[in-house]
Parts: sequence; C-alpha cells; structure tokens
Amino acid sequence: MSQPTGAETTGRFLVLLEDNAVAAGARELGRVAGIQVASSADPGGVDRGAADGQIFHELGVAVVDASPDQVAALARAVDQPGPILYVEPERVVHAIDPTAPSAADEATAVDETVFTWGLQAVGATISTATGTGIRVAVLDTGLELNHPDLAGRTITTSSFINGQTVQDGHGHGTHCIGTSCGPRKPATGPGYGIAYEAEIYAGKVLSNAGSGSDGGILGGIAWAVTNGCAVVSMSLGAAVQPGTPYSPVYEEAAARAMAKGTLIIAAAGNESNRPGKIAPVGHPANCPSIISVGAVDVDRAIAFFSCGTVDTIGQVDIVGPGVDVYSSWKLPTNYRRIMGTSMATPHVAGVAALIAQKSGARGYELWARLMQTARRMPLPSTDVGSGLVQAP
Amino acid sequence: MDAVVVSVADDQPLPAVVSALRRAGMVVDDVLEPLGMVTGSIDPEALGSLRAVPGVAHVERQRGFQLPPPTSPT
Repeated sequence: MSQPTGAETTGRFLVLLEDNAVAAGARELGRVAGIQVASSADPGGVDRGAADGQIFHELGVAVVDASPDQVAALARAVDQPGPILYVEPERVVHAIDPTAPSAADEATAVDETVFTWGLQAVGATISTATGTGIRVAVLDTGLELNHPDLAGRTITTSSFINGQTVQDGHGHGTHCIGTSCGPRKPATGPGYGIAYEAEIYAGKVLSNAGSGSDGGILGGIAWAVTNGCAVVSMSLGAAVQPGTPYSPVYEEAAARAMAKGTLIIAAAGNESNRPGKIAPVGHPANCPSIISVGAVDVDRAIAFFSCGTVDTIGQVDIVGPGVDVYSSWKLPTNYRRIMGTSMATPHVAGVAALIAQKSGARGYELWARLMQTARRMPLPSTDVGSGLVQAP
Repeated sequence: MDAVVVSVADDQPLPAVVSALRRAGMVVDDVLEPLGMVTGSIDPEALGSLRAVPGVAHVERQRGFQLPPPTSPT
C-alpha cells in the first residue's frame, strides 16, 4: 500500500482490481474485508446507502470506505494472489487556478548588496566553478586597462581598429568584460563577475565611437581561436529585416571555430519594442552555429527590447539577465547600470567558462551543456530558447 | 573600393587561393588562417570575378556595426 507524503487525503481508499476480474474483485472485497460495493454498471441493483463504496467497471477501480482493520485486510490481500492488486488513500485534488498569483507576478526585490541580481539569477553565487584556466575572449570596444577591479588579473589584448589601442574609450567593452570575467569581491559595491578567475582576452573590434565592421570582428574571432579561447563573447550585431538569410561566411567561421574548440556567443539584438513589435535576431547571432542570447529582467520576464525568433532564420537559443545590469565602466565613471542583450550575452559567456572548467567540454559539447542545464521558463521558446542560463 | 570578406573552401590551399584573389584584383588586408578567410577590398565591378576564383566558397560585402552612444541606457 502506498502512502502519499504530504498530500491531503479523504479517508477513503482506492482499490485497483485485476483487469477483466471486476466481479471477482467485488466478491473478494466482501470476502476479505466485509466491504460491499455498488457498481457503476448496475445503477439500480445495489442500495447505495447500504454500500461501503463503488466500483468503476470501466477503470477496474473501487473507491471504498474502510476501517483500519479493513485497510489492513485489503493490504494483506494485495500481497496474496487474487484480483485485488493495489490499495492507496484517495487524495483531495483541487482545480488548478490559472489566475492564482505566482511568485513572478509579485514585485521582485533582490538584495544586491553582495552580488548583482544577474549573478544570483544564473546561480553563479552558489557554483564552485571560477573559470580558472579558461580563456574568454570578449570582442567589443576594448577594456579600461586601469580599472582597479581587474588589477592582478591575466589579461591579453589586441586591437583590430586602426589607430586605436585596446584602451576602452567607450565603456561598453569594459561593462561586458566585467560581467563575464569581473570580480566577486570588489573594493566597493556588489560582486558582478561570473568567471572571476578566467583569463581575459580583450579584443577591440568596435571603435571608441562604438563602430566596427565584419573584417575586424572576423579578425578578432581568428585571434581568439589561435589563442585557444574556449568562449568568444560578442555583444554586437547589425539589425536585419525578417527573411534575410544569415551570413554564410560567419556561419563557416563559427563552424570552423567550434571545430577547434571555440564557442561563439552573440547578442540577439535590441530592436524589438514589445509587446507590439518583435524584431528578428540580428547578424551575426542569426547564424546556426552561433549561440544567440536574449534578455530577461529581474522578474524573469522577457525584456521589451529583446529580439525574437520571427521566421526560420535566426532563433533565440538561451537568455540571460539583461535589464538593470550593474558592471564596470571606463574611468572615471567606474560603474554603470545599463540594459540590452549586450548585457545578457556576457552572463552566458561567463557561465560557459564555468561549465568549460568544470566539465572540460568544448565546442558543440559545451553548447549542449549550456542548453541542457538552462532553467526552463514559462515563456515562448521563440523568445527564450532553452531558458535562463544556469551556472554548473 | 568595397570592403569584402572571402571564405575559402575547406579542402583548398589558402596561400594559392590568396594569390588568385590578388590576381583577380583584391587588395588583401588580412588572411585569417584559423578560419580560412580573407579580408580586404575590391573594385565593386570586379566583385563577380572574386566569386569565380577556384577555391572560393563565399564572398560578402563587409557590414558595419554601430553601438549606441556611451550615454545611452542600452
């Protein structure tokens, strides 16, 4: 006999009878436990008021009132050969109220005094992985090389912008590196970095004015592959019209990089204006061999700007925290809170580094582990793919 | 001149294809060996001749990317 744990029960019992032996089962209930049952197949035949329960012929199940002695007798009958197969308490069931408020509907107040909400949401704060030994390339506007939070870290840099050093004159690159690889215990403010012991590869492929082109970006990808980076984070993209084919060149570049153990993770884009407008995933995140990252907010709702899957080209693969994201910025500002799929992307890249460290996975295996461990969300897969990225 | 990127088919020797691209009029900026790609520029009217070079898989015009200004919330 099974005893549901924690479930509310009625005091009655369900008795499962052998297939095609319902009549024999009814007799057996009377013989072993003195239980008389009315039959659903015999509406007028038995006095309901006098019966201890009812048999549902179609199901081969009886629902009975039984004293503790009778229950014990039924349990013994289950263990003997015969038509009584199984006995369990009847549970109280309730309609699932679709309007019942869930935790997500209430205003979420997250304590960010120790860690940012994003680090908490992806489970980085409870993971033992640090990213040590993993090289993470962030292809962006470069890095604030004098930021105190990165002092002592292993940093390799290269600029693919003519006439500009990797020093970040914009701030965007410093923010993305902060999220993916920044510190857990800065001198001031909350910890905001995921793979806080990863080796940082800062590639400048966007100028201090925030502009770049395919040549520099592909150059940055090649540099990351040559240096054995397991992860490339690209918080950049160009908007496309629905139905625009993905770039065969980027697709080949990503597939070749992946075959060499370098996984490319890119921002889906910020061109949506929900709920009215959902824009397609931009270039190059729309390539099949590049992980495309959408953004959610602190309430686990899709961000209004986050691009979606609108046709057969370009799908959102996974989401990360991308609203009200606190991270490092170029000096003298030091820190900023901003939003975008650009901010969600380094959350995924940082987690990818943690998984790469912990599992040894690279390339498509790393991709699979990211998708398999993402937390499923009650939102359209066209918006969130596999769900919210989760640290190992 | 248009900025372009050329991908070279997997089974083709990269240096030989790069030489052929130059002969077809391409000014080569970079040979991205790990990716099998070549970046550079070419007269728009000669773009078709690049596609005809043996060993070339794809030719694309380079796109531009632009972030919002640093003062933007995104």
